[in-house]
Amino acid sequence: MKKLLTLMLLALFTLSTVFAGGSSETQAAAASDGPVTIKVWVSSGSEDAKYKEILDRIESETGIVITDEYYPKDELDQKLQVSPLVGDTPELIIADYLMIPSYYTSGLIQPLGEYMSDELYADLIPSVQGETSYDGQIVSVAQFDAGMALWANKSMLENAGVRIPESWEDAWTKEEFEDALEKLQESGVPYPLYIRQNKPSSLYFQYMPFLASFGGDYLDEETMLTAGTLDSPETVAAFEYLQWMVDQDYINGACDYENGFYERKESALALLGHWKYADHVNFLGDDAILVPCPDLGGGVFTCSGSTVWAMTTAAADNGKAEAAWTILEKALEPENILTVTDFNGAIPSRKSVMDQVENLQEGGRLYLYRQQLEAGISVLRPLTPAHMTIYNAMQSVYSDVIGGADPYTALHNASQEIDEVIIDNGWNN
Amino acid sequence: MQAMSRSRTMTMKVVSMVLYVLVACVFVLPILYMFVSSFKTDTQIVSDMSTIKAFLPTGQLSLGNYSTIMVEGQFWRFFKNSALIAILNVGIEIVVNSMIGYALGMLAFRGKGIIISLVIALAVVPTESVIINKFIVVNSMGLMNTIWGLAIPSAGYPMFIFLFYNHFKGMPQELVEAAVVDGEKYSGVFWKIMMPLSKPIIATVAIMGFIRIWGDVLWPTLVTRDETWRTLPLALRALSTDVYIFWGQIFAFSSLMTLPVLILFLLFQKQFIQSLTMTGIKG
Amino acid sequence: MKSGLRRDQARVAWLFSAPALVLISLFILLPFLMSLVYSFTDKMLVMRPGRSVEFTGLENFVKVFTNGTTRQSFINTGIYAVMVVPAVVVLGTILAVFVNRPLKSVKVFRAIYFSPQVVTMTVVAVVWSFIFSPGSTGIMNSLLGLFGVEPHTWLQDPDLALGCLAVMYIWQTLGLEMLIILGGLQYIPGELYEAAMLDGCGAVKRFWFVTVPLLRNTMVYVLVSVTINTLKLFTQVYVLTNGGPSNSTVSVVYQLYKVGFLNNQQGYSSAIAVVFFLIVLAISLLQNYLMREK
Repeated sequence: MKKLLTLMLLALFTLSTVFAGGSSETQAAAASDGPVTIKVWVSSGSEDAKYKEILDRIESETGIVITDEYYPKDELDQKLQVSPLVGDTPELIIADYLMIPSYYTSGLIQPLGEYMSDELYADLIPSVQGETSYDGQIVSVAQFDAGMALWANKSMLENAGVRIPESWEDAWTKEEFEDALEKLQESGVPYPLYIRQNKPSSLYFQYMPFLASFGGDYLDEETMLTAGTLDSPETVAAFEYLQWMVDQDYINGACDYENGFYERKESALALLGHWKYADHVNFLGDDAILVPCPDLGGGVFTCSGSTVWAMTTAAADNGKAEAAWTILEKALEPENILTVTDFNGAIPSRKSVMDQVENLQEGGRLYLYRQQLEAGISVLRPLTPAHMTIYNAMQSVYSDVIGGADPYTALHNASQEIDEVIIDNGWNN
Repeated sequence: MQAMSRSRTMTMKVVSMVLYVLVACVFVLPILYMFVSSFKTDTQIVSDMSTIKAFLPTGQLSLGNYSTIMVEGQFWRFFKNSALIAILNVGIEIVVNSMIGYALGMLAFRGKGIIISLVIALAVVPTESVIINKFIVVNSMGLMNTIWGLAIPSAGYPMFIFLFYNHFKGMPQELVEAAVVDGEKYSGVFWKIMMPLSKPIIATVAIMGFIRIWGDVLWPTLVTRDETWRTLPLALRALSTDVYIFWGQIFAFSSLMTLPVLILFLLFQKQFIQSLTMTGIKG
Repeated sequence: MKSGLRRDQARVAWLFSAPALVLISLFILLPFLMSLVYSFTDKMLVMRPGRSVEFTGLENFVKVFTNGTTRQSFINTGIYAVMVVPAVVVLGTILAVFVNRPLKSVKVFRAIYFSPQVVTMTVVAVVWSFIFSPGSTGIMNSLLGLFGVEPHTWLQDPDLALGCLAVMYIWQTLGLEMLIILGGLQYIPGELYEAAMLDGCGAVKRFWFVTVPLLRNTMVYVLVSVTINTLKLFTQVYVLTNGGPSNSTVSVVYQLYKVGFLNNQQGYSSAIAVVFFLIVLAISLLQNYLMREK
């Protein structure tokens, strides 16, 4: 017994020395009157390494000490929501633009209007200007915008005798699209369309061009509620269409892998964004092309979205706003934008930078993305503090509808539950 | 006649052995699957899935997943955190819960009944259900992002108090009285006599407590505020991102997370099993 | 002398109880009391600047019973418990009888049957989600395919998802309950069986008239602890299903977590916790009562 006790004491002792060591370090850092320290919380994803690279570069160029921490989206959100209670809100956040309104509403976000120069703002592409503003304020900056269209396997389309649209203006009509799916299936493609059905959360973004083309939407911008929009006949039609495609085996409803399009080659079309650029080009080479989303009645659409950099009110309260802005400004320098976009294939947020990317010039592999954004056919998902609630509900709706649930019931129930939460929180006022 | 019965017992033996093995498969195959898959690439895991190959180390095997989670995933750092937190938690858990169990089970004092009722009532509160308020309490104590905030709040655990209480209640009261007559203090009786006699129950609580804290996801999500005390389950969850799910790495990570507990279990399985079989007797 | 000893005893008893009492009061009782208070208010987890907490009476409790998802969460948790508890008790008893032999080889099997217990739930969930892959090439589908069973989508099927979560939990915990029941079995004196045998009782009769009654204490423990653990269903849902498909796996704990953290409604979340506590308490008391009565 004594042995056990001694062991335990020993363990405690080791532990306490570990902390003593740890805490004295942090104290030392805080006490020294040296350079400003900026804490950045990053919503982690495949670009993590690139952000590290950029932040390292900014650190060495500016002398600002940057501590960057990476968390999965859910965890980041939870940590951030309670951070005012804990008192450890970071100075900067790098996260999905849809998260910002919620933080803004909780008083966490510092507007950037007074820092942003007019020339810089004018150089941003319109879709990015839209994504980064809320409540009439500039609430964040973005390095890139998403590119969203259909990835296609050129040989498979040719083999099935399907017309390949060149620009968004000659996108497939509904009949052509359905005809294409049928021809592809007949030509031996098991499931012509891959939509990442195994990750219903990302369909909230990816299915948006289809949804918009049916005339549907997630939230009513007037009332800031979902009633009458999320369960409108147009939205329901879009979800019935999704289910129909699954029923026709155009989409594999029971798929749980990522590589159906580019590696297994069981699909000829993939409703995926720019972020699959590297995989698609590496595996398919010149066969990987972009075609616009079909016109399902209401026109051709693409969907915008970005990871944004936002400054918190904590930065202003700690007197670190200047340093924080310096970092944001640096992030928008061409070199730093290109570090990310060269890696993930997204569209640079600045017109001046876009001209430097070969893929985005006429004839370039990703030119369609640029064309779509310049044409202004891009739609945004709702900017609302209720984002996480809507996002989670939609994740279930997508997976349920793919699984065979009645679209109207699923959407209507989701709408009711979401609105209840919005009203309770006063997020509609 | 005799020969027939002998052959019958032989068949019985074979049949029961086959049954034992079949049942064992149910329990072992998923674990085996995890270990085997951890050496495969994501593509191979999926393509092996439909056949017996899923459970066999076939194809191109490599330690690639392991090296990735160790280098990029900083596995050992989180492992050290999880281990320290678990050791501290289980240590405190054993001491405080056994102490109160001894007091309730073997000592006479006013208020005992109330405490016992309180413990039973609190055993029913699912700790996860009050986690937000627990967070607020721990935060106001300034324990955010410390090992204490991670290890201490769950250390007082009504279920374990109950186990210790039952255990001590079942011990012969004369042991205490005799020792006290010999001049031993009531506290001394606990440390010198009772604890050595309680090794099996301590072992039980140690295992169950260790498993409980080792896999906890929700609490560390809230309490860790940077990477200082980030734990294994959080790092494991981070491998499943919105953009890509790294199956091979997830299996490697899961394997490494399971291995230490499995080794501990195999080393001490005799004692563990013996002690666990004692748990419910006096319930 | 005697009263001095008694005083000494009380002093030590309180001293020894103090640490655990402080811990459970601070980290279980106090949070619970806070829940109780908040459940009557419109407290939001993160209050908007300029908004204050207000008393809302029973509004949150009404919502607990009228909101579709919350009501579903109680039903799901109940169904889950009804699937898990009897299965664990029955299978645990069968396994315990099965391994209750003093053979060396059987002891090895005891260890093997217990081994899933060392795999934490997060990992169990991840591994089993792969076994329940929805495609026709998934492990479970391929296995059942050998017996001619049609492929299912398991975790994506509203009728099967909760059952899948139950299977994971049963798989993990069965070995533990087996050992506890085994302990109870071994505690029964062998003479009783011999006596019963002399009275001409067969194996089945011996089990019913000797084993079952004498196993009651153990069974109460297993029943109550498994029930309480089962009702806490959270990890599998959190890691795998997020409550879907079609809300078929929303558990109470997951729902109150979601309501509190995601939807920011701390008061409402607290009300769910309070109602849940009352139900769990009632079930535990009932189980204790029923098992004592016999």
